Order: sequence, then structure tokens, then C-alpha cells
Amino acid sequence: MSLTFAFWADAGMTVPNASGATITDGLGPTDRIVYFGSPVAGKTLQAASNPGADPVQISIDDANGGSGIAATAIKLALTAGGLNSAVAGAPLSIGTSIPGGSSIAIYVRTTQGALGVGSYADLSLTTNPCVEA
Amino acid sequence: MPVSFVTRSLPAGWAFAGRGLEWGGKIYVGATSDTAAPMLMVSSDGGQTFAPQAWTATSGPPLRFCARVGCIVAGTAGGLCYSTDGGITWALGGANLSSDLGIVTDGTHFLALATGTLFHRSADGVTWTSALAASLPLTVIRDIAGASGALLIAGGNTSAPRSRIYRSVNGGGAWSLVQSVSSASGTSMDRIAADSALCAASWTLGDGMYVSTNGGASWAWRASTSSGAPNRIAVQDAVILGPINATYMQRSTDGGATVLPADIVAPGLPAASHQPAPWPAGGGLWIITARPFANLPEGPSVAPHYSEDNGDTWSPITVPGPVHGIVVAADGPLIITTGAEWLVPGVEAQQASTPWPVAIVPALVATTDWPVTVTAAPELRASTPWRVVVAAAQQATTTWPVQVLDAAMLGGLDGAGSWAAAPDGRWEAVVWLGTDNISARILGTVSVQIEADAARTAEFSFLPAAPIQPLGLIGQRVRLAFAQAGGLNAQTIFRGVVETPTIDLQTGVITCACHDQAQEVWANTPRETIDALVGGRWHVAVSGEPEDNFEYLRERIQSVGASWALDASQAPRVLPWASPARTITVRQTDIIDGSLAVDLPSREQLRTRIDVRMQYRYPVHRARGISAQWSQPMGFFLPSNRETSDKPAYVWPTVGMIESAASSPPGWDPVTPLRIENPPAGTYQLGTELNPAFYIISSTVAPSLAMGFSGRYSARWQQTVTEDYAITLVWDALEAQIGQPVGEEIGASLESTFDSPGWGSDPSVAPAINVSGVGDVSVPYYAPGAAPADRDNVLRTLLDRAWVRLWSASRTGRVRFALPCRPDLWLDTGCALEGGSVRASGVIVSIEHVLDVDAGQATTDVSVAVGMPGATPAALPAWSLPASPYTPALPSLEQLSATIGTYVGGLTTSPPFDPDTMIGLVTNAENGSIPGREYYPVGLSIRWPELTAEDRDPRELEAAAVVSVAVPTDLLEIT
Repeated sequence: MSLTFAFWADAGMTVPNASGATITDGLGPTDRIVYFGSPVAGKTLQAASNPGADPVQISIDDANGGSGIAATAIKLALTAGGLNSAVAGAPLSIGTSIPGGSSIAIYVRTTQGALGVGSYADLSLTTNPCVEA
Repeated sequence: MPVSFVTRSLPAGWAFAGRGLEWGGKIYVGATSDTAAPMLMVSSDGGQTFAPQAWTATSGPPLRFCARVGCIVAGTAGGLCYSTDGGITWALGGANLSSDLGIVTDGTHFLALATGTLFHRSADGVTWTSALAASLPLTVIRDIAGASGALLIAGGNTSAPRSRIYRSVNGGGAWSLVQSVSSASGTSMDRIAADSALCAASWTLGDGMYVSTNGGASWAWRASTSSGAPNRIAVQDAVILGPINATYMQRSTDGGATVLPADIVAPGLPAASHQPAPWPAGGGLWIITARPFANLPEGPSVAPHYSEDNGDTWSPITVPGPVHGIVVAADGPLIITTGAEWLVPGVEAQQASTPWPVAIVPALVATTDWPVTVTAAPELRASTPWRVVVAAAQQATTTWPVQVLDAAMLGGLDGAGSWAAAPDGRWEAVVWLGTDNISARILGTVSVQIEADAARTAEFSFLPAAPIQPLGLIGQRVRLAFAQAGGLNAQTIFRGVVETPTIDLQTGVITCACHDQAQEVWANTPRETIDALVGGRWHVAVSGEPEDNFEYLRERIQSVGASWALDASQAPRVLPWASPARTITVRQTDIIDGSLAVDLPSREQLRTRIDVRMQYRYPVHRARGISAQWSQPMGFFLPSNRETSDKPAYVWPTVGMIESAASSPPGWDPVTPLRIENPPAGTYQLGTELNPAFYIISSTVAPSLAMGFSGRYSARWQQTVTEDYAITLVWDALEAQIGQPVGEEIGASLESTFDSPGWGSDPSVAPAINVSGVGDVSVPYYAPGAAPADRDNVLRTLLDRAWVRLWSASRTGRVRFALPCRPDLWLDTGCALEGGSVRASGVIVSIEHVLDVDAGQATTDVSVAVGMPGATPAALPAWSLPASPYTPALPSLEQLSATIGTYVGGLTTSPPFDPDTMIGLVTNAENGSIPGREYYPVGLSIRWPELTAEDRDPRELEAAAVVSVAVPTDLLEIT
């Protein structure tokens, strides 16, 4: 059975997130909010490594580590202001026990860096292995 | 000490045999059985019970015993047995050695007399030495005894001295003649007995007895005054009994010093063929039995008697059978019989009885039905859920495609006249249906409609490559993008789901109508998120309870100048009408020829004023305190008889009158007890010294009279107050432009309800309202959610909405134009149009992208909302609300007190009685009944104040204001 916790385009967890970021060449990073949660109240998400103790983390996964876009192109934060101080490519802890029924806003800043014009599909946002109860 | 015995019985089939022995706390008696070998019966409880013990000796039970420290010797028919372990085990020491005539001990050695001429002796009971009487010498041995340290043999000899007593101090190894009597033939020492050092012996012809006090070493004759020699002799302590016959007995009770006259009667002893035999029974107790002549000395005897006075008197003992022996037990003598019974000291259990007639009667049974119902016990368990979840670790992942878009894609306006999105004019529509890219299957046009305050819609048609199930398309995710040929720089223009697929049965082309799920997304968005996105105000009194959050959004956003929509990622967004996120400048050369159009707002669409009405209704809890008081001085009632004036007395009002009139006035509750002032009792001097007169009020009458009273009263009631606000927002500039007001009205009502039956009539019903003294108290009641702060909130919400309404009404103008497809344009973009004869600026409110794959044409139709000209921004005003029109009601003075006058009849000036006007004390002069005068009915009436209509009826309080506002205007110039 798959997780009911997922990434959503809206706070109401109606539309699964299917888009990333569009950066206009040379015009600076793009900030976007993606939501993480489960629409099912009563569910709880915990880290599989030590449920209830270890944090659930959202990290940037680079499918092609040596090419394309690097994970450091993305910063994650729980607030808009936190993006400024966030470490590029660093995972974001969102709590040790995530309740279902409400979503957590994840602020994502995507920076062009040295990327040229084009589409890059090797990045994803992913959680650490979790268990849902 | 009286002696009583209890009879005990051996087990069936057993009978006692021989004498018994008490030694070492046990009693040993031989017993025979019909079916078993002879046994030694042993009692360890003083003779209460006997238990058989294995008798390891020869045939025959033990018939006689003799014991000294370390050894018990038992004589049987088969020989002499011994025990050296206290009687537990036995062995045959002297086989076939008879001891029929007795066994004695001197404390060390044993002497057993077999016959009159043969005896056996032993030092240890194991080894026996036999000897003849002739060895002493004696012709016949009559009797033997054991004294302390000496063995004694009494007998006769054929040669003188014929009667002899021999003594041995070495266990019979050597004998000494210690006493003899020369007498006629046929005489001898007949009997001898010893108890420690005291010894006694009888001589055939002696009327008395020989006595030794030194263990038989020397003897002395004690003569008796009675004739007759004892046939038996026994010694116990200092007492010697030697019965002569059944009637007489030689006795010494002083240790042998003297012998009493033998004139003792022992009744009951058989005399014929019997000899009495005395038995020491311990503790000064003697038992005497009668032994038949034919018995051996140890044979059974009969007719036992006992004496507790050394033979002075005897009493019979009832025995179940002949007596074999008397054993001195700890509790007294144990009488051993030849039967299965024996006697032990004790008291026979007695039974008290009473007749117990038993009648057998038929049983009478009272019955009653007793239905029994067995019900299952309710199972009660305490339990707690213990949910166990076994879950595989999983990861939630979302792809994060990043597109770096050439900045040139977003340029190409402001008169550039180029198509930045497809510079070489080569483009393609990118269509993803679910996970499939069906771009190559697209037919006709792909259109996307984007509109403020509406869902984004799209439509496309395709020819499936393979048969598909059209119904399976419903809900499929759709992404539409505009890209340069080859898919470069693709820009998403739609994300959503297929709402309605249709199929052309002729061509097989499927057309999908899609939307971006805006309603669902907003409905699922939490109110807190909507509040944060929109800002503004909302109140349930204005909008009602929304069905869902989508309706809540649409209500709340009416208080701000903004629109809602989902962006290209389907994220909910609020788009302000002023200060768009970005602006573009579109010039004539950018737009498609002939596409420019302007729709000006109509007068009907415009609004110059909005009337905001709000009614705020709440109850006011009111209370009023009033007083009722009346008094007259003593002089009013007392008569006076002066030289210049003469006043009669007036009739006093009574306490009863006052209580009746003032205790419970209708509509008023007493607050304080009624205070009545009584006239002082006493004698009042009237008149003058020369013409005195007295007026007496007795002490018994005074308390019933009154000269004044006062009381406080209150009443509670509710009054509804409605504050009716009418605030008109006026856009003066537009109204002046138009020339007359064009308005509409919006409104809301807020009500505070109080529903406690009985409030007002029941003082205990909360809330309490206390009125002290005289006057009014008014306390408005504000229910939760209907306080004055809520009223203000409602007013401000209405005013915000009114102002936004003015603004939105003014934004009905539209400037429309078409461009080569600009997929980057959206509702967050402000647009300044320099379109030749038209100059306008505003926010894009609608966009339609049409990608005609067949014709190769891709365009974007843009509609920009423009307000009234002026290009002047204006902010939402900070409202200054009118003051509440409510003020507490103030009653008039006459509403706070009762009317109580004073009217006296019987005076010359007394008018006719008018009950309608004469409210108060009505009394008369006590002057009899003078004709022509008006006399009144004495009494007290009170006119109480009443609540007026103004007090009770709902109050409608108005507050009005006119507020001039400014509304943002846009640039719109047409030349």
C-alpha cells in the first residue's frame, strides 16, 4: 500500500504536484510553494529509521549526479524568509511525526546557477524512508 | 477421695490374663485372643487404652511381672521372660522355669517361686539359677517377698524350728535364718510381704503378725487382741493388712508398731471357699478381693471392695468380671479383670434424658413456584485497542523538472512586433494526457481560457492511435504547453483534468473539455490559508454560513480589490487589481491587426454610491426602583382645643390598611420591608391649663395605628433596541461626472438574542440586575458573537465590500486585443496598451490561447480591465464608524414614585368624595356626623407608577452617515 502522504500543488491537497520550476534565463531564482501532507486525517508519518524520534526529512534527489542540474540548485525552507538562509541542496526536516489531514508548506527556491536554457528532469524532492500508520 | 471407675474394653476377641505391672509410666498386662497368639497389652495413658505389643516370648501370655531398674521379668507358662529396654522387646531368659507362686525383687535380684520346694533366682533376669527349698533348708516354701536389698522366704520345716523366715542379701546366693518359731508340726510362717524396709509375716498359730522395719533383718511379734492368723498379708507404706477371713482383719497402721483389734467388717466379701486378698492401690487406697481357695495366688478373685481409711470401712466396686490384678497407675488403681474389660479411675459418662415423643405426621408442603432464569453473565472486559501496523518503509517523491527558459521568450513586446515565443514562427502544441504525450495526435485547435474569478478551462481534440475507452479519459490529468518546434522552450499554459470527453463517431476524434479543478482546490483550501491569501474581512452576518470554502473565498474576496485563480501549477492565487506582479507594454505593432477593441462601461454597470445598511438588535435589561412613602405628624391626627382654634381628631389609618395597600403593588417587587411608623402610645395634653383635655393612645392600640410608612420597590423588564445604521459611500467624482447617483444597497443584520423565560418576573433568573434606591438601570445584553465589537466588524466588512463594489463596478470596461501566442501572459500581469488611438492600462482579466494545429496559427486574446479614467490610485479607507445611537432611557420623576395624598372628610371644607382623584389616605374628622358635611370612606389607596410605552416598546435608533470615497482609476484614453 502506497503512502497517502505526498507532495501537492495546493494547500488543500487536491492536485498532486506535477511541476517543478521555470527559471527565466538570467532573471534570478524562482520561488515556489509545494505542499506536503496526507488528506487522510488520522494518518501519521514517521521516519522508518526510528519512528517518532528521527525526523522526516525532505531532500533533493539528483538522479544524475554528475550531469544535468545539481541538487544544490534547490533550497528548501518552511518559510519564505528561511529560503535566504537555507543551505543549497540541504535536506529539510519537517518533524518527527507528521499528522494527516493538513499540509505543510515547503518553500522551494530553484536557482539557475550555471544552467543553460533547457529542461532538466533529473531532480526530485523526496522524503527519507518513512512508515505511515 | 472418692473412687470411681470407668469400664474400658479390649478389642473384640481379646481378654486379659494374669496380673499387670505399672512400670516406667506404662502398664503391662498379658492378654489372650481366640484367633491370635498371646500378646502383651501395653498402656501408655495410665490405663485408658491398651494396645497390643508383639510378645516375643514362649507360648502363653505373661501372667505376672516383677521389675527393677533396668529389667522387667515376666512369668509365663513357658518360662521366665525378660526385657531390658523398658518392655519394648522381650526374650526368654529361663525357659520352662515356672513362677506360678510369684516373682519378687530386692531391687537388684529376682526371686521366682515355682513350687513349694523350687525357686529360681537371677541377678539380671536373663540367667536363672534354680534352687530347692531344702537348700535353705526348708521343707516347704509358703511365700516370698522382696524388701529393700533383701529377698525373704517364709516357710515351714519338718524339724524345729518349724516356722522360718530366711533372708538373702545377695540375690539368693546365701540365705540366713532371720526369724523362726518352734511350734507344732504343720505350722510355718505362712505369709510374708514387704514394702521397702517394712516387712510383715504371719505365723500359722499367731494372733498377730511378725513385723520387721529393717528389711527383714530382724523381726518383732505384734500380737493382736483378736484371734486368728492372717491368711494374706500386704504392706503399703506404714500400713499392714492381714485379713483373717472375710470378716476380720489384722491391721497395723503405724508401721507395725501395733496391731489393731481385728474386728473390721468387710461386707460383701464371700466367706465360703474364699480368702480375702488385700491389694495396695496406692495413695492410702486399699482394695480387697475374695480369692477362691482353688486358685493360684495369682488366680482371679471376686467381690472387690475398696477402703480409703486403711481398712476402717469398705465399699464395693462393680467389676465386669473376676479380678486378676490391681495395678497402681498414676490416676489410681487399675483393676484388671479376666474379661475384655478393665476398670480405670474416672467418671462414667452420664446421660441426661428426657422423653422425646416422636409423632410421624404426614408432611405438609408449602410450595411456591420459583422460576429460575439463567441468563448469560454479561461479559465485561476492559480493553484497549492495540493497533499494530506493519508497514514497509516508503518514500514520497515528486519530480522537480527545472526549465530554464530563454529570456527572449518573455520579451518581444513594447512594440517589438515579433513573436518571442516562436521567433521563427514554428511552434507546436504539447499535449500530455495522463502519462502519454499525444501531441502528434492533436487535431484542430487547442484552446485555453483563463479568466479572473473563474476556473481555467481548455479543450483539445485528438485521434487516438489505438482504441481507447473514452470514459476512461474522465479525470485524466492534462498538461498543455506551447513550445517552439521541436519542443524547445515549452511553456505550460494549462494543467488540469478532463471533465467531459466527447467522441465524433464519424471520425473517431475525441474532444476533451478540461478544467483546472479550481472549485475543488479552493473548497479544499483551509480557511486559514484563504484568510492569509485574501486578507480583507468576512462576517457570517454579512455572508451567511458558506457551504464550503470555495464560497467562503468568493465572499471574503469581495472585501478586497482582487480576483482569484489557479496558476499554471494549479496553486491557488489571489490577484490584486492594483499593483500587479508584473506589467507589460503592448503597442500597436505587437497586436494582431484589427484585434483591438474597447468596451466602455455602461452607466448601468457603474455605481456612484453604495448604501450600507446594518441593523444591530439586542435586548436591554432594564430595572427601575421606585419609592412609596407617606406620613403626617401627630398633630395632624390629634385634636386640639385652643382658645383660638378647635380641631377635631382625625381617624387614624391602620397598619392593616397600609399593608394591604403597599405590601404587594401590582407590577412591582418589594425591595425593602415596608416601614410603618406607629404613633407613640401615651397621653397627650390638649387644651389649656384652665381647660385641660387629654388624648390617650393606649399601648395596645398604638401598634395598630400608623402615622406614616415608606417602602422601596423595583421592577424588571426587557426592551429591544435596534441600532439602524445607514452609511452611504459616495464616489463624488464619478457621481459628479455622471450627474446623478447610481447606487445600490447592501446590508446585514446582527442580533443578540436572549432566551431565558421568566427573566423579569422571576428575580432568580440570571442575569441579575440590581437597582438600589430610586431610578433606572439599563444593561444591554450582548450574546457571544453579537457584541458591539462584532457590530463594528460587520459594519467594516460591509463598508469594505461597498468600496470594492464601487471599484469593481467601475472596472467593467474592457480593452481587448490579440497577440501571437504569449504563453507567459497571465492574470497577474498589468498591461499598458499604447494602441494608437487607445491608451489604456489595467490588469489582464482574461486570456484565451488558441493553438490551431491545422492552420498553424497560435494566438492569445487578451482582455484588460480598465476602470474609470484618471489613472489615480486609491486605497481602501480606514473607516470611522458612526457612534452608537443607543443611550439609556431616563424616566421622569413621576415614574419613580407612587402617588399618595391625604384627604379628610367631615370638615367644613371637605369636597364630595371622588375616588378617582382622591388617591391616598382618605380619612374623616372624628366629629360625629355633622349634617351637610362630606364624610369619606376611610381607607388608603396608592397610585403606582406604570411602565410607559417608551419603556416597553422596542426602540429604533438610527445612525446615518455619508462618507465620500475615492476609488482607483485607470488610464483609458481614446483619441
